[in-house]
Amino acid sequence: MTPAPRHVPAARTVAVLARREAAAALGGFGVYIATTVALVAAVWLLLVDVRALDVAGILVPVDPYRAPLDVALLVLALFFAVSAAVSTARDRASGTLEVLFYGPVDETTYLLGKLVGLIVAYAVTLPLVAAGLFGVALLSGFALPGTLPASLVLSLVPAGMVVGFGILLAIGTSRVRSAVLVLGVVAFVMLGAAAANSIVLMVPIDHPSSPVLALRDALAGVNAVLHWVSPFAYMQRIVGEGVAIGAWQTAGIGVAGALVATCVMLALAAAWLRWRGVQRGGE
Amino acid sequence: MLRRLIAAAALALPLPALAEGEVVYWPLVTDGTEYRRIAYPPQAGGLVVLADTTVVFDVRRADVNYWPITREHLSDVTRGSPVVAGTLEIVDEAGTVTGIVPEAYLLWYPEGVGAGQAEVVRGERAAQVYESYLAAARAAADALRDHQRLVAEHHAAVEAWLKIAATRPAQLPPPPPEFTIPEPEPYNAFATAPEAAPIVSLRPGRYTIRLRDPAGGLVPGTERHLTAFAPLTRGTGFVIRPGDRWTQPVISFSPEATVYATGRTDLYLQPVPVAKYVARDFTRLFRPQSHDVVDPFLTLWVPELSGVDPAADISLTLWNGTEQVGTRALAPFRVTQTTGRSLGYVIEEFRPGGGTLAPDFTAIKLDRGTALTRVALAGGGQLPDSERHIREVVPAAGWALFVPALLPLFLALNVKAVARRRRQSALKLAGAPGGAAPGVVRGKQG
Repeated sequence: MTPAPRHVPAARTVAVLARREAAAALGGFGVYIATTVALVAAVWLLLVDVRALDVAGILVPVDPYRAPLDVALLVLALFFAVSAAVSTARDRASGTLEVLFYGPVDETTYLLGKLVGLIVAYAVTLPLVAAGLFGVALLSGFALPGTLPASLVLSLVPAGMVVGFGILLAIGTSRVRSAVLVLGVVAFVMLGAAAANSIVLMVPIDHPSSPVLALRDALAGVNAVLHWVSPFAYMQRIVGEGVAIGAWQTAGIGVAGALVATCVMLALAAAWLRWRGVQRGGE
Repeated sequence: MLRRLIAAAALALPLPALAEGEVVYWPLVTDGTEYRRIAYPPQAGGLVVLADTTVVFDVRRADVNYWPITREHLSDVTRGSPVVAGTLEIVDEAGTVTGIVPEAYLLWYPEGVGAGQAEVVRGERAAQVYESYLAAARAAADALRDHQRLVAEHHAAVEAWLKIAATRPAQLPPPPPEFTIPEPEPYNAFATAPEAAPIVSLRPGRYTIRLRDPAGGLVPGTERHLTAFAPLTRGTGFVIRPGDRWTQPVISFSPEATVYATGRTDLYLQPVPVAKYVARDFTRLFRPQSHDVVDPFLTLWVPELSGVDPAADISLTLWNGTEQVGTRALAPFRVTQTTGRSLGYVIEEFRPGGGTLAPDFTAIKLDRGTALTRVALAGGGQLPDSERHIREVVPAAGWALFVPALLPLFLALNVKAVARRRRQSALKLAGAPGGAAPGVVRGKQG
């Protein structure tokens, strides 16, 4: 008589998977390089105000760290989206996914473990971001905003959405390269559409038959959709347009929307994974 | 032949009636600074007005066309477009209906168009103001014409005298006396011609407006929502002029903003009353079809035209940490160009000398080198919420700011180095007698 397999609680499985994922993310150089790039981008933007103060002798910025923090968190989120996609695709390509599913792992626990692990890794980088910005504040003289802790903490929610987005896109691919490529294209479209819209709005239009007009309206429509779909838009809405300027209702709506979107993406990813199976296979 | 038949048929048919156009509300609204006519075609949605201000409602029929460049529906509202006659009804949230009958009004600019505050004068006073305006304007025009005539006569007299002088007569008459009659003060005030329209001033809230025709029926297409909004709060802003760039002031309207200064020049702080509004409402006030602001939770600070009286007894208290380090009073200043090669200027406190000179600005001076961390107006009852944090900073060189950004990389390198040292120590111990067997794989595990 063979003994019945010992029941392992799902939460414990999620915790084990999350620990493994966080250790893998934090064990490499990538996350530290990404954090450094994020801080360099933030300083580069802050230099605009520093130079303006130097020239004019006086400056009254509402929050000199709003744009720098936005960009820093966007860079970090992008890195974790790529990490999630790479990690998920690699698990399938290396056969780890198949092995895991022989144990007490199902689609939901696997995806939750991956999500929680990468959010923990993201959370570990936040003190580094805060310390870097504190150093910049000491050298520049620009005081850190009182909302910085809240911005960093609440950024965990859209960061989770970004990670979920990366996982979802990677579920459909069997190779790491394909996962990165798909995520890169989608992220480029999402971030590029917003940038293109801003640029097109600056183009003067002097005739209703101008082709720029159709482009502007198309980009406005795309952006209106992305405003509610893009995880990067949620990051900006919660941090830059919400907490940073004290618009707590905006941030709250953004957080609620991001949580719902993350749950939907995880459910879709689980369904897709179940439909596709966990075995190695070509695309 | 066919063309002729078609042309003949067309001539025989009666012309189609012109389209009546759509109902367009064309209210005269103010943002507290100026009055503007804003067209609200049906596509523009509900009307937005500033609460507790005088609003003149004008309802017209006009053609409405979509203008793709601005993504707005533009109404051909002109003075010639037909007015929709009737009684304006305003229904508040409790359902109370108030009928507003048209009354006479005019727009009065006591300091001239584009200068100072405009006022809607209504009722019987409108006719009186218009009459006195016409009388004063005519008197000013007459006085100017008389002055110009006297100037022309003087010029003619001088020319005549010069002609006589050119002939070198034996007895040269005395020259005409110097012309000393001053030019009359220019008359800048302006009033629009009196008209009749429904006029209201609404408390903050949401309403429904509609027009009832003389027969008692509702005019189709006139029922709209109306929002009257008020400031969320009021405070004190500052226009700050650096002493070395006095023509390039910076503004600090939000009390939450910190003022950063390098401390290389004096600062002149000019207090300004400001009001905080919901950004979406305030933007829609003059641009009801704007696509710019959609977030209903954004707010903005706006200066109010009722500026600070330059003669008011206002002073600024200076603080360095928790210690009060002094007070500075509001004073008038005048900018004087310096002569010489430097081509600079000096800002001096203005001392009225009875002449025609006037101060260039009125402000509170903060001397360079004064160590302070915050300022606040004394006696804040008149100008509330005036506290500002001031930080004097000497920013490091641009490249130095990137050093803290490298912190995560240094941390990772250190952690990795420590981990490698520990691993190597462990492997050495393992290779020692009694340790692990030879052949242990050293280095990083895959």
